[in-house]
Amino acid sequence: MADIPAKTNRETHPATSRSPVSVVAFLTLFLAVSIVAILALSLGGCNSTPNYPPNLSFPSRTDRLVLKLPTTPPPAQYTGDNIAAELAKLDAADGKTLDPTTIPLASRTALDQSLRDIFGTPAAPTLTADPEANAAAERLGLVADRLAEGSPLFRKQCQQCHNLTGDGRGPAGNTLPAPRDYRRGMFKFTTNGESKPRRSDVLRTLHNGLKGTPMVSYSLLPEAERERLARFVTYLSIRGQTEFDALVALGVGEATDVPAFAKARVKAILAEWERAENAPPFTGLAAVPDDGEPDSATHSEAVRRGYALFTAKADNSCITCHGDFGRKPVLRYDVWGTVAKPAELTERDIFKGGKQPEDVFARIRGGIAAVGMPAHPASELTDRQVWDLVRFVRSLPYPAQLPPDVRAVVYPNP
Amino acid sequence: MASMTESLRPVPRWLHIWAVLAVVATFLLLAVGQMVTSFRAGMADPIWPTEPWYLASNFKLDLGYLIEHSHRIIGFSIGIIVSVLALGLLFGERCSATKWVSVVGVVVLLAGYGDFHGGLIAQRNVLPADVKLPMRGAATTLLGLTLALGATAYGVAIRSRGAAIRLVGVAALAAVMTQGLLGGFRVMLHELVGPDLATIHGIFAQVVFGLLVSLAVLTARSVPELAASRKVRTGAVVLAVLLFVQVVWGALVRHSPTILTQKLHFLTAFLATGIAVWWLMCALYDPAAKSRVRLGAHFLSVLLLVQVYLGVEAWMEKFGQSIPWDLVPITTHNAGIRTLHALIGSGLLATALGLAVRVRQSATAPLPVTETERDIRAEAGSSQPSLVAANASQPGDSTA
Repeated sequence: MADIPAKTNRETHPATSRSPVSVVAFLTLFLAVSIVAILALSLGGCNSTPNYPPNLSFPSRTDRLVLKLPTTPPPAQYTGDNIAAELAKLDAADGKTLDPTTIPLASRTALDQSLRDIFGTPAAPTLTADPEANAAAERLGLVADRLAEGSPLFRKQCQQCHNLTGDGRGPAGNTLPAPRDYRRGMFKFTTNGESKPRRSDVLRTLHNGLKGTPMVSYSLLPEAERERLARFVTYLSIRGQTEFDALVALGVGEATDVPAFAKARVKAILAEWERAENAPPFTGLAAVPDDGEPDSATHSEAVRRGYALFTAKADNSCITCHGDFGRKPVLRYDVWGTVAKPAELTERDIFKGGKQPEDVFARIRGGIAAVGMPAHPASELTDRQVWDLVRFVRSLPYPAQLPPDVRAVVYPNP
Repeated sequence: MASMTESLRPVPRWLHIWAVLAVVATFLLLAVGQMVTSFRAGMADPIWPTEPWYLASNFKLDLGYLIEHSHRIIGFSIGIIVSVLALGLLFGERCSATKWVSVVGVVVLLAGYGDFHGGLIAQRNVLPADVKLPMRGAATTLLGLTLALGATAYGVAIRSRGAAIRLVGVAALAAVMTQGLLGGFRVMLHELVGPDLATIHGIFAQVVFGLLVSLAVLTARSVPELAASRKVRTGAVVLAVLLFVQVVWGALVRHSPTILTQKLHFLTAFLATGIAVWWLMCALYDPAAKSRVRLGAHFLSVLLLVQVYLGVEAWMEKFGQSIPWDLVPITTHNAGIRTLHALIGSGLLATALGLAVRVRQSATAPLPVTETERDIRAEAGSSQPSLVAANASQPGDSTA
């Protein structure tokens, strides 16, 4: 059989005569165009910080207000899949909530207008009530131009979880545990024994994040931007608490002059923030005892003393809620109406508010009022005693750091 | 002796099947990735990098968390699949030196990548501002990439048979690894450039998908020998590029929408639809083109119809409310619509790219027949026309 001449082959099969790398060239071009497009987008300033539309107002509050928590312990940590479902069960469980939509429309409209007059809009936030309140706001740095700087930053960095009003129900925040709801004016991780934080407490949370939660660290942000965010969070908290208090008063018929009531509440809330900001630091933080390395005798003695305090038979002792050192926690309702679970202290990296000795000291001394963790003032525990508890609690996840007699109780089945 | 049809394959059959598997797996990854965006789950777990088995010991019944970790696990699996694909392609190189340099390059690349990730995992408890990039891992990765790409590019330069496919294979592996890093740094650098990196991660996903689709097409059985017309060939490229631009606008509308990006996305949709319809008519009326791309062309037309409808629905869900788009609550319905729209956009781009590659692809030239082999056949008195001889390649031809 004669071979088909190569010339005929090329004539009838022109495809084989094309450059063999044309497809590769096309793909390379595609890849190169893609990379250039991506770089152009990166350098073209798509990292923008959009402000809110000027005609957008803060919406009226329509979710339930928690007036009284149930006295019976909650059956489980989560029984629903979002916070609204959890709150709906409180009334049946001996708690009390208020549906703001049951308040007469005229009163709610008057309240919305008052809030708009005092707090402005998301695009143009302000805080103006009366001269005394304005002065307090200025001392706290809550002035219009600074708030206006924080607003677009909040929209970019925080809103998707904490939502427009700071209610913790943003599009990505419909989870349990829920993002913080600022509107009760209470925060968990403070260093002043109060339920309102210092500015530095909020900044610490922004810088470090909250370990074990979706609240990330914003340590890469410039400090000035974290300051703006902290101010805006404070502003949203004041606004939210004013609205909460006014709605409660309207609900029970106590507020007849809504604008005056709202202004009075703003003044009182600002005073609380100032008191929290100016509260003296815990004395124990100024004089940290040197208990040596975890394997030293001094440290072991401190751990032993801390263990004794932790397990003391008293109403306020730690083991009352952190049963079996946290393995059998006693659930309780927090101020937001959801369920708080005392920390499982034998687990590592459990401290959301920071695991440094100073952080744990602040939690024990100041308590976490929002979740029912009591404070232990100096009249109850000396600084030395609190530091003993700190040594014990921080050693709990590490059996080797516990004295043998303590270890035998904490870890009976090694 | 290998069958005639096998000799018309540019690579062993299992590699083509593997390439198709990579495409299917990547499509699944894209679907989950689009869900991450639709459900705003990009930061559901701020810890990165995580080991592939991380979810087993850190399970949490949270939808966003599970979506995000599923995305990471599938991404890791894709890395393994494409690594095997790249190595399988490289072993097809006939020049021993080139083969082994490129294989060693890929191994070094994978080792460096693993070392880089290990270095970051070791700093997981460190604040992002204090994290130091593992330079040893980075350097090893770059060295491996240079070796692998350099060797395969050399093969293309000397027109080694199948070199172009091998180069695309290594490029695809590098692209998959880059995409993994983009996703990870989106999490790690969230507060600085998170949304922007999310946009770039979304766009680059299309590049990765396109490369893998191209590989699947290039490793398929030979194309019919008649070439499509220049109009069809050029139009296919224009359509693919236009659809890529549309995907870029779409990513911007997804992540950081402005009036301008929405307008661009709408206008490009009109243009792309018009070009697509025109090209489909040209291709299906061109016998040579039709023989190559009939199935793909019909698939493209179906996707186009569905995509236009979904685009309208997605826009209404996201921008048709009375509140800013970033305040619209996420529901299964609106997240599903947006996810589908983005996913079909990826499918459209990949289909167009595959069609463009297919219409421009040279017919596969089988291995050249030696004189000895020809003599043996003549002595055996074979009455069959020698297909091998009939399609004898010209010197220098290679499959691409």
